Amino acid sequence: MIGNEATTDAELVARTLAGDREAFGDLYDRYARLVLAIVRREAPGRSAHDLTQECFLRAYKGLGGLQAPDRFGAWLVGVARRVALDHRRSSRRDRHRFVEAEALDVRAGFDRASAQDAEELALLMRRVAELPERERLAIDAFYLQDQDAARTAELLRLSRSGTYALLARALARLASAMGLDGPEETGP
Amino acid sequence: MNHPTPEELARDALGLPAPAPLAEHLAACPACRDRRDALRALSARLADAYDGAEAPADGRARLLAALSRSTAPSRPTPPPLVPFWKDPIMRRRLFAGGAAASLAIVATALWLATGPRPAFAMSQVAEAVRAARSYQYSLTMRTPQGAGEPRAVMTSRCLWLAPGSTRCETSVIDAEGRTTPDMTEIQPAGAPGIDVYPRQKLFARTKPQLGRVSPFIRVDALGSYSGVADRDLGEKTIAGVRARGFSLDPRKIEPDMQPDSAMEVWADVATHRPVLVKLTIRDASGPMVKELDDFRWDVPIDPKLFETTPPQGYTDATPPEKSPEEIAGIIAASLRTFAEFSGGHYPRVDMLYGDVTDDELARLAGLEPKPQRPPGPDAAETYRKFWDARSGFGWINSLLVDNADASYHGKTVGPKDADKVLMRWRRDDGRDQVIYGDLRTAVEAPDRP
Repeated sequence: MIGNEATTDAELVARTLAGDREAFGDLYDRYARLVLAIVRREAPGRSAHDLTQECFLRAYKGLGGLQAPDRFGAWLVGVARRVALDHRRSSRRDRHRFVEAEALDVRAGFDRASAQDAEELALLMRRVAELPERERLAIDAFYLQDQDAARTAELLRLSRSGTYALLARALARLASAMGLDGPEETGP
Repeated sequence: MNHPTPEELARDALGLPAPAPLAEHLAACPACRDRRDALRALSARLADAYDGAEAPADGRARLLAALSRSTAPSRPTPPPLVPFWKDPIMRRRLFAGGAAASLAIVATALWLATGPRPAFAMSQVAEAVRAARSYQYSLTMRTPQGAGEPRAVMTSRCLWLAPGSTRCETSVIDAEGRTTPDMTEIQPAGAPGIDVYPRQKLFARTKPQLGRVSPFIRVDALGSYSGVADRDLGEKTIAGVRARGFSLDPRKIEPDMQPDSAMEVWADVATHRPVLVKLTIRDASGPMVKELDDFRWDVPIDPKLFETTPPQGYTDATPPEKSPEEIAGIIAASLRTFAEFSGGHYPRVDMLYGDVTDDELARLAGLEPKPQRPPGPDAAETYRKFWDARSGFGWINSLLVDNADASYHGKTVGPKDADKVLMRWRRDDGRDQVIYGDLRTAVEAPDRP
């Protein structure tokens, strides 16, 4: 949403509550990628696009109960996780099939990359999907919010130092999973 | 230092704050630099991957289509980020709490305005206002519109029935002058009330107003106020009635009000009853004008109008109760913030009004008046503290209004007064919730001094 960043979330929330649906559309533009990433991971096998729609519809209906409109992002992340959890609970399908479906879905999203490149990115995203939940949420939020760690902390409702630690742990774990970490060195 | 852990290297690769020895080590150790660079490259790959992740192209259009079929979101109370006159505290003060209070304002104001003018037989007027068994009036609120003239944004018809039941039906007025019913506030004397929101088909239960809505309401305390009218405005005809007007500084009646407020009172020269009262409150948003007129005295009012049964088919949106401990914690945190920015004192008032205290805190914290967003990254933390503090001030106001045994002593008790009670109120279990000067909270038997 270039050119629209000056408008705060709180203003968009207020305008939505005043009946301006386009303002909620702006909030969608701002957070759809993050919500999509969350539901895709947390409720694999479901149509991530449908779940994303469901998240925003639920958020729209519940917007009146939002106490601090300037924390809309963090609240929406919570909504997305609940929506995903509800669907995961109701799902009885085999988890492995979800991972396969997930990988395909991700690859389809990268049509700008070359085939080989897409393959590699898809593998990387699979590794992200295998991270512990808090770490993968941190990675999602960080890379979908212009690598702004402070913003990530807000969205995760964590302290900055806690967020830094989470991000560092996640990246180190990914490196290890991708076989990038050399032999552990000791001594000076 | 020893070789950094992968996590420490990852911190550096992510551009996150890292300890200084890490940079020194990296400068001296090519192996660790390589590992850090590999992590950096991985991070860049992740950025690429996420950059390629597009939101569904038709997502926004699909969502907006779905929203148009969905009920619009609504909230039982206005959101925090609204013009200050819509602030719940402000509204209660100016509209609902004001229903009974407004006329007491009038009584007080008349008494003040004309006390030294025996020819006007003012004591009889104040007496007449206090003796009324019922009354009604219209209340119109005008607020500034950018640089333009103030426009009427809300209008209420308010009823008062002895011994103190109130009902206010408020409509909002849009820029084209259309009025839409917005809310009805019913508060039977000494009993729980109800706020009804016809547009959203919601209602919320309210507590009995047993505390001080404002000093005005204590008609028996009128004699304790002193002051005189600042100016005699002469006589004129208002709505066919010959009236005499006076202006005065409302802070003579309510010292904790915004400075630079003004009040005009016009009373019938024959009956001495008020005909028009105009209150101008100036704060950071500009002048807001509240006008009371179209008074009817001692006309029959159906007591059924003060019944608090919710309308059929309405949803209960009463906010969940917070425990006294939780409220004490919120208040203590707000007062801590206030003391931090004020250089060591709490709001020095007897009656705390949320909007007045918010304004003062914004000023103390060096924020613009009524800030709507952080002024910049360096002031984000200040803004967050300011924002969080507001709810505590709202709670202090609510407790002083709702709770007959609530008291606040910010004028005399400061952060160093560890053993003095800063605030106290009666809990539903009969004990007292206490906040001391050092912001320690405690629950005590009510008879402890």
